[in-house]
Amino acid sequence: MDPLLYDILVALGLGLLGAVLFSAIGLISGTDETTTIAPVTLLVVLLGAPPAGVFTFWMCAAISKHMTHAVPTALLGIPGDTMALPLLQQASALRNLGAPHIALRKMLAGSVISAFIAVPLAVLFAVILAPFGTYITASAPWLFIAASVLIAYFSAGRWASVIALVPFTLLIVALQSFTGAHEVKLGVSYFLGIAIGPLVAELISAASPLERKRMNRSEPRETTLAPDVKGWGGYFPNPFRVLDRSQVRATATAAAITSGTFVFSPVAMTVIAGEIVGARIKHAYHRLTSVLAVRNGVTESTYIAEALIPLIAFGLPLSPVAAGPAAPLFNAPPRFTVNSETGVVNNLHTLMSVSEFLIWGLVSVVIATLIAYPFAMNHARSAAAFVAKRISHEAIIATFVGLILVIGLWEGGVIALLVILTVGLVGGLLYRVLGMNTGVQFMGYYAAVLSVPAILKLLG
Amino acid sequence: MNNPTPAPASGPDGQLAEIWGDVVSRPQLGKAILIGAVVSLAVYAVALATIAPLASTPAIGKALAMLAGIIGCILGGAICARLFQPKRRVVEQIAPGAIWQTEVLDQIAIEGGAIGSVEDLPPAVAQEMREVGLYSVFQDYEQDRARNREAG
Repeated sequence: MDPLLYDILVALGLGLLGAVLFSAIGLISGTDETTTIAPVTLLVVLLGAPPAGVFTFWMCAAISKHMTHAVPTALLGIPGDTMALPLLQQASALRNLGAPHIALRKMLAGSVISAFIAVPLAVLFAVILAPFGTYITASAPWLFIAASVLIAYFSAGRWASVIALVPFTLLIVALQSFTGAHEVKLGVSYFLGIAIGPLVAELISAASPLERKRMNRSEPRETTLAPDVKGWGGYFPNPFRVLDRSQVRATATAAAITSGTFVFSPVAMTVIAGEIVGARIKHAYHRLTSVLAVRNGVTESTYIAEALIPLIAFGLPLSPVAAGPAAPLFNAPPRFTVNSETGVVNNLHTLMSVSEFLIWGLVSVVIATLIAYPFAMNHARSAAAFVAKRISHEAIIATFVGLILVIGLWEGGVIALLVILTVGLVGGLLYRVLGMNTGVQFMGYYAAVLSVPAILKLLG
Repeated sequence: MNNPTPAPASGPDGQLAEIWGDVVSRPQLGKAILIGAVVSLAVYAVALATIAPLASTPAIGKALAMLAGIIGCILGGAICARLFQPKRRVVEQIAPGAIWQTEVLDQIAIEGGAIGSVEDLPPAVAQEMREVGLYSVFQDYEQDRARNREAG
């Protein structure tokens, strides 16, 4: 087969796979983006998928997940993932008013419109920033320190996260020299350890008598499953009809602005965009629906822009999303690498052109919209009921435990498993106790790899 | 007669606990982790011994075995989903009464948001509210509040 045609078919196929897989994962409440998207994307990279295929897979996964995460949020009243948290209050209010289907539709329509706006704008911002690229890669070690401090300060832990960065980075450096002494070089295991940390910490806490009281429950969780009312004919409701004119305008404006603010936390941007729009609307019903459309739109635009801008302009993971869920697009050793001494990168940044990013980005939005949007619009209730009644949380945890074991053993045998356990427990506890989120910890990892050698060299 | 301390919940599923955002049964979680670990590692080991030597390079062979191991994880999860039921009580919602909806509106008002007046709404939004069946709810709420203000 013609190699170009092959690459195109693989890219379309992987995009489809990402959209289907993460439309399903989005339905399961509490599945954090970093924990789910990062390891699976890593797998796609390491199995040797062509660059465009890796890119469409990640884009379709992220866009689809942020559409279907609206299903548990609207119908069950449980946030679908981290980005769904800012949507919960408005979604619950509409649910209690007996109109959860309206909340769902507004969120979905907002995300479609926003995703289509974010891709071209993010590419545009990246092109504007790209001339500074060589300057930025040259000073990468210092930029990572600045970025990690900034991202740490804007995490829930504020100064505590900034201070905790130092021992956390030191832990990574120490582990690297420990595994190095046994001639094991690890990359993926650190990512997995950080990404899966909250689960590791919870499982180990559950075994401690001190934590037992906090965690034990006497009742199963109660959720009310709201009814759904289908208000349109056909399979694909027009998002411009689901939203009224002022909501389309507000969603589009918020998407455009948040496509440029790529260094800030996506959750924070989602909250702020909702506050700004909500403050201008007098009527409660209109305010609830508008805030939902805008906020879910922003969950798409921030994710798209925070991955695309650093990827296209610098090739360095200089945003919370790029350092977290999109990390394997930048760094997936041995295939994608960021060289610690020279700042030379070898990842999607060097393997794809700007026009390829734009075209495949838009193709991804189309694929995700064709899969996740009509699925969530038409089958939300039965899907939410299936997950709530059939998929036990025990089964989800068992799957993740298997994932840790297989990837750990695959990368570095028992030593890699020990590293995952160590990084996971420490990182997970820092997250829960100090509010130092996984994004900050990923930056700590990069600081260990990139900045520490530069600092040591400077000190002589 | 009236026991103030909550009874230890050792129902048919054993002690329940909230772990990683949802409620699980402790003994069942233990078994599920064991099943997940054994199934995924077994599939990985079998693939490493059978599929991996067939690949063109050792690295690709190992990656294929890992892919098989990931499928093993999902298989383990599927087995656990069949064996262990979710610890969630799913209540199908009854049609909400007007009183309940009023409470929601009170809540919105308390949380600092104005309720506003349906008169001021753009026609498209008013139409949407009529279709959802919330127009009259908001209108009644407004009129009630106005009446209470006159009376009080």
